[in-house]
Amino acid sequence: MAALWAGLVALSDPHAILLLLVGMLSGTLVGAVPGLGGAVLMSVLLPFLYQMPVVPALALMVAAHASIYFSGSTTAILFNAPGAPESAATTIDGYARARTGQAARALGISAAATTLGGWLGFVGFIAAVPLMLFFVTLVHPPEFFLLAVLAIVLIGQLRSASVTKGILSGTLGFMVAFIGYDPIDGVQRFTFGQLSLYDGVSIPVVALGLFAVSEMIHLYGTNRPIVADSTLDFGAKGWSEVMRGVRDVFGHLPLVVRSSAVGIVAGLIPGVGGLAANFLSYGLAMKTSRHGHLFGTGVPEGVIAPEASSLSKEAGSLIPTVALGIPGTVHTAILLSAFTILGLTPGPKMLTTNLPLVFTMAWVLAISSLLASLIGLGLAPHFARLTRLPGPILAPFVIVLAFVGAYASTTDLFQVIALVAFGVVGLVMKRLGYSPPAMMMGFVLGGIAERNLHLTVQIFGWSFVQRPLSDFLLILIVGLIVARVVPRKRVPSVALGLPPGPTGGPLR
Amino acid sequence: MSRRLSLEVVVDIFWVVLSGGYVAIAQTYPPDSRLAPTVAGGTALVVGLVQLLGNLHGGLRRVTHGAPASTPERSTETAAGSSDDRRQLAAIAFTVGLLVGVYVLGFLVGIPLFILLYFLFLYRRGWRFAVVSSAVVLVFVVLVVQVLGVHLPNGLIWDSLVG
Repeated sequence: MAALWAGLVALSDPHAILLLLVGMLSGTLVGAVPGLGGAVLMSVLLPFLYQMPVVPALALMVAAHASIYFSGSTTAILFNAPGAPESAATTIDGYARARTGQAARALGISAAATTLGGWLGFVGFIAAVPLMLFFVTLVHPPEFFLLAVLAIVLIGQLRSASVTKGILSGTLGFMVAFIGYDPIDGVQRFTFGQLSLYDGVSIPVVALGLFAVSEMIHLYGTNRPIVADSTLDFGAKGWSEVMRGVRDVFGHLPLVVRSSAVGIVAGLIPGVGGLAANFLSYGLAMKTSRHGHLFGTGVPEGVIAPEASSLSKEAGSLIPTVALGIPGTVHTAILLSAFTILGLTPGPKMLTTNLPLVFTMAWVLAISSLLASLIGLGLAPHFARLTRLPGPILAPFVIVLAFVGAYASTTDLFQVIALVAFGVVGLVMKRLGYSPPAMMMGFVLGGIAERNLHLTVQIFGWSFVQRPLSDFLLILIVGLIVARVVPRKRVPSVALGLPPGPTGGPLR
Repeated sequence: MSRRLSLEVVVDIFWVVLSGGYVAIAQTYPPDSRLAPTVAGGTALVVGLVQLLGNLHGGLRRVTHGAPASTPERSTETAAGSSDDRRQLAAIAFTVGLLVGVYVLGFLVGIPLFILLYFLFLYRRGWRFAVVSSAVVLVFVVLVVQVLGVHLPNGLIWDSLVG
């Protein structure tokens, strides 16, 4: 408790407060630009850390990182263009909700869920510190691999017309992930001699192509605004809709707690956090909901679940990062670089002699998430007006944003070519009932899955099936695939307050 | 055969060919390097074949195309109305044009020029709208360069002129 209080007191330094605000504002602005996101921003901030005192430097880095989530979700909700790759899960129901004219409500949900999730993650972080060392020893390579497959199967059921299309979408993601250097032997795979492919395809490029570019092309084709009913008045209803979204979150507190817990646990497991946590919590929410079949049509739970896990996973990922020097997400990997610059050595020592510093980072995460969401909420009704613009007016601007974001994150023009290619792939996938989110998931988890598959074969062989946790995950995966084919009882969409689609059914 | 179904069959054949080729290429790599691609590509090949057969065999359609009530309406149809194929192709063509533009002319010239031409010829909004939009986008791109310190490429023409 003394260390917890000392961590907060350390932030009372005016220099630390100033840099916390700078980090928060820069994160809020950069997070709204598709393709840039936290990793790019944190990388750009690294050179500024030299000569900086430790606490203000950490305040800058962690605040910048924590603040991108809400603004990244803003573009995800309004334009189906995730500002950060982690916001991809939010596009599914967030954008669907925006298309019904309730963008402000979706933004209100996002802000409240992100903040609550961040604070729950903070509480979980405090509680988990003493348990951390024991917990991470439970999960071994077979479980890592099966968790990756589970995430694909869960997400493959979203917006895919069938079991096979969901599986194909996920495996396509895996196949793209294996382009580039093999992490085991260093062999170039599927590069065909192209220098630009040696490091594979970039995550922001795939996310922007599959979600933003494809949607903008589709939107241009409709020649209508994102919101079909242009008579909706955001001006008068904006604030009340935002607050309605906030009430939605408080009306689903058990879901918020569950999703935050998923985020914390996923963040604790090195390499699985990030995008996986958001999609896992989304998939779990869908499976446990009484109206899971309506996920993808704009249900509040579909926005609450991934948003609540966004920051909680970052809180969780701080633990293996500071205690073991193993980053839980790409952002904590960059944070490790910041530790080096600041002369900090991650390890058990961080949890003993530098424990107040560890809690300072957690406090920054919690405080900046709250401030970023408050600022975002103030701007939400105004952001929501953008959905009234005709699609063909919005489309070129978002595509340009995607181009700039894709190049800025990779400084490689070839990746911009890949952006366009994935845009067309995403368009075809949506047209034929495949699942772009599943492909994205497969791409993100491909590296993790491969490394752990290799370790499983080398260390365990087939004996991995004797592990109870592996058996549980295997049964879960098979059960989910089989359950997809069995018809389920449906709850009418009107029971959820969702407007009917053109044929009277739920919107897709 | 309906247009959508024929596109599905083409894509399904493409899946099978792509995944078959993927697995074949993977066999040229060392054992450790080919394990994961073989597993993923092999899965895609098997499932792709099932998907292709589902177009031909009614008994498999529930697995490959979902139950009739759960099948989404044409994915290009939304509450906003159906998406015109020709308009989509035009949008794709302009996006490819933007790509060529930034490659040849660079970001600072190619992007504003794209916006200008787009609002003049593709989605006509008049000169004033086109010029203002182009200027706004140019300012944004310059800001990205300045604030993030990203060097955007100057384009083939500029590079060849400068030598």
